[in-house]
Amino acid sequence: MSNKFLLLLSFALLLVVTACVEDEDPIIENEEELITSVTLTLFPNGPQETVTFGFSDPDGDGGAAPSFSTTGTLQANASYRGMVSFGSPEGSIDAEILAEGEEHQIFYQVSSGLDMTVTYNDVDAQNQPLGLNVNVTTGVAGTGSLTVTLLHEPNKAAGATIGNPAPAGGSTDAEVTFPVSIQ
Amino acid sequence: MARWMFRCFFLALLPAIVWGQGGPVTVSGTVLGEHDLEPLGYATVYAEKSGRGVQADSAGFFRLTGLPVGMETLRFSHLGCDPKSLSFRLQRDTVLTVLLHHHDNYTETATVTARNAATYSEQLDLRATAQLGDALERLTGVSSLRTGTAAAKPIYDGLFGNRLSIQNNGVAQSGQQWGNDHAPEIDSWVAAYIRVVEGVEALRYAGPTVAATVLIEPAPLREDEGAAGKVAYGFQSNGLGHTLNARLSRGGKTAYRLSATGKVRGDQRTPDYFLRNTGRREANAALQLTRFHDARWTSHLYYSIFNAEIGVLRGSHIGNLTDLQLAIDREAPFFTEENFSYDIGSPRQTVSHHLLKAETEFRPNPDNRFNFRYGGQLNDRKEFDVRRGDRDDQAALSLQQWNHLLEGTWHRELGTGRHLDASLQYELTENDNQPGTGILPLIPDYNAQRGSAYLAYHHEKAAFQYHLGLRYDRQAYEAITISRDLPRRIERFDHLFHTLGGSVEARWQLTPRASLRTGVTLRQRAPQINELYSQGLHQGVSGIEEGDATLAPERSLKTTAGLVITTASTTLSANVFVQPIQDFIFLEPQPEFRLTVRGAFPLFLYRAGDALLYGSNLQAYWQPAPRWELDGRLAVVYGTNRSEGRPLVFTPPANLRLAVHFHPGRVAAGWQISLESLLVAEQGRLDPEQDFLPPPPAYALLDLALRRDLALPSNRTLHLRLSAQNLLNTAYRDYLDRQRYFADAPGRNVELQVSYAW
Repeated sequence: MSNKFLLLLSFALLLVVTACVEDEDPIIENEEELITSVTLTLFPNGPQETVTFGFSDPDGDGGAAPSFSTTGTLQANASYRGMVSFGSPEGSIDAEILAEGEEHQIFYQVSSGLDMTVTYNDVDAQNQPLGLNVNVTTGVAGTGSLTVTLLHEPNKAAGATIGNPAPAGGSTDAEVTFPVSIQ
Repeated sequence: MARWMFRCFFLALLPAIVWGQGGPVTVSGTVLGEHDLEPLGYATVYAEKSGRGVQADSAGFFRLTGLPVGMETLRFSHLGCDPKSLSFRLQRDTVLTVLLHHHDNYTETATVTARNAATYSEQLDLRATAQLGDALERLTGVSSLRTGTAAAKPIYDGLFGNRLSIQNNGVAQSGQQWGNDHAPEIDSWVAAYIRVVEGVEALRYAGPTVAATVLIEPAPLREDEGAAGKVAYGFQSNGLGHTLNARLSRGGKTAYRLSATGKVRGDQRTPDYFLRNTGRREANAALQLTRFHDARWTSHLYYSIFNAEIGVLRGSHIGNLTDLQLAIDREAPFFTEENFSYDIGSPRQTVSHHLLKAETEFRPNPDNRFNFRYGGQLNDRKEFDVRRGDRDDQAALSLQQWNHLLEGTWHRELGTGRHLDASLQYELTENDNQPGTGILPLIPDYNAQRGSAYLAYHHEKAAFQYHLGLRYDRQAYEAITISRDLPRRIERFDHLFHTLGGSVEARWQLTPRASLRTGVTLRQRAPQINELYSQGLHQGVSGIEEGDATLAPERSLKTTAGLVITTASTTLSANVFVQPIQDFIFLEPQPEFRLTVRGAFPLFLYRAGDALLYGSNLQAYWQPAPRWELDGRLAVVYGTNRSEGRPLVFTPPANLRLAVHFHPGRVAAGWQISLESLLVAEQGRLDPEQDFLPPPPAYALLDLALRRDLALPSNRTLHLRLSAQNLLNTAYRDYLDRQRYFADAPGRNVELQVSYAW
């Protein structure tokens, strides 16, 4: 027994010694799930120019602060086809959202004072709204904001509407508020 | 609490020294454990004929004065053991050494050792279907910081987590103890003793701690014991839980005990709805070996494995503040299902924890005892979140930690009631994030090395005792972080902390019935790796937490005082403490929110400030008649962050436990009925901006238990127990439960337990 014990103790010491030696660098993860950019592109149905609203935070939650960008001018009393795109450091994740359409829904909340209507223009495999593609119509000129929310595992039967995600529950994967001005 | 259950065998009564003559006589002596001659602190000694009793001190020393000459029956019991009587003829002052033998399957000792609190024991086995946290909660002054049904961590005198370490079998429990939602990975069936110690005694132990430490130990093995076994089965109505534990043990030159536990439990239920995804599975085993080489030399080997898969309430998984607000506004959580299920989906945790301990103890002579110990731990924790794609089965957090402890201790007797304890420790910890999570880790990889020295002097003679202790730690860290800005870089940072601890405690036996004790403990605590380097979003609390690499050690000065009054049928104990902590590390909410892709989040930075904790414990025990026992325990703690001018968060509200135990019929018939109530006040001391939700209102719970022990032929026993927790099915939320934003606490649970021992 005492021999066994000594053996065990030396085994333990060995463990300690080997543990001291090992000192590798950690592996930097591929953050393929992290959403680092949200881009809403509005293609005009008329002669207006294409408008894009962008949000970018390439280093994730910490590090540098995220940035917003807008190109083009949103015209009053016009209609657009909207397309939203979510990006990760590994590329676009739109295909993933589309493939899991039943588990996702994108909501568009227009702030008061902004004369804008957003309606769904796509459905998931269960014929429920998805929101990667929308129709946007503008009314009179004004300024406000548009909040784009990507929900994971919402309850699509719970009575949520495009502008009110509250009843759907689920967890928020992205929630970006773009400043919008209609001219 | 079922004192009659605990079978303490009186082995030997050794009259040691005899002197003096005539008049009233004094009987004094020491109560020791038969197995290892450890003092049995707070044993009670009762002279039946004279109707007087005393409680031994922490060193097992007792003194009964003024006994008349003649026949007397002394009754000895240790921490609620069934009183065992011994009669003899008193002629002169007598000094005794009493050796008590604990039977297996006994008990825990709900002792706050250094406090000399009145101690009531209970049979932990009867609670073992519950989690360890529930058993701990029954010690006065201990509350639990909970994450719903998933995790419970002890809080003692207002401190928890990084400030209250847990010693499992003499080895500081390693693993991810910083996480408030990480319960200690210990099988409650193996834990025979649970105690909270502070002062000089707590200085002995490693682990980040600022005053007290929790000790969890298995029952010791004995040489003179035959083969024994026990099989226990428990059923819980809430969550349809099944628990099975089997134990085999044998004494002898090489004694062993083997224990295996399996637990399955499904979704628990509040009075109104099921808590989806709150199931739990556990499979644990432990092997304990002791070799009694000879009278001077003993070796121990212990190995345990703990495996758990723990579901976390589905409705508590949220993405941002909007989700949290929606969840708070709901009556029942999102994702609540109509039906019960055993399924465990995301979010969930899987943990496996291995502990190997090898220890040898050598006593070259009665005055010296040397002990060498190795403790190795491997903790593997994975946490799974609700994720996009097929990533639900890809851990969002995967940490592996190796921990090695080497310790040498020396115990030196300096004469009657005086001894020295000294120890040296070396500890190595290696914490690695396992690749493949696809997420930057919250806690970086790190290596930690600690060297410590401890010295204590105990003077435990007669009516006045004092204890002195000193401790020094040298803690070195190497943190290997990944930068948060681009391009991602690996950076290494070194830290070295020197910390000191010192404690002085004294105790006076004022009269045979009253004793007073006081103590002052200074202790420094080096910042932990999460306080220095954590980076990221803390799920479930919707906050971003960032460490501060410039933090310095905390300095705590805890002063305690206590009074114990014992009579034959009552024990009253009152304790107060005050504890200022300088450079107290806390999470400071920042005025600016942090904008992320999921919206704005509150930002919390680890900061150092000044804190002050103070509070009081009151315990009362009364046995008005042989078959009735009453027991009351009140704990009150206040905590203030003086730098912020605000109360400390997660300070337990005042709570009171009241219990009545009744033994119908003859005690030997083995029946017991217990009615216990827990009253928890509302935590009124919290500023509205400190939390997302005001603290929940006060609540009261009622538990009822009915127990029967049947002695079967050839020394076999059948224990039966039927109990109900939250008997009235009260819907409530607890301030210390981090899931109170989302759901009520579980409702009524009826439990049936059957165990058979041979």
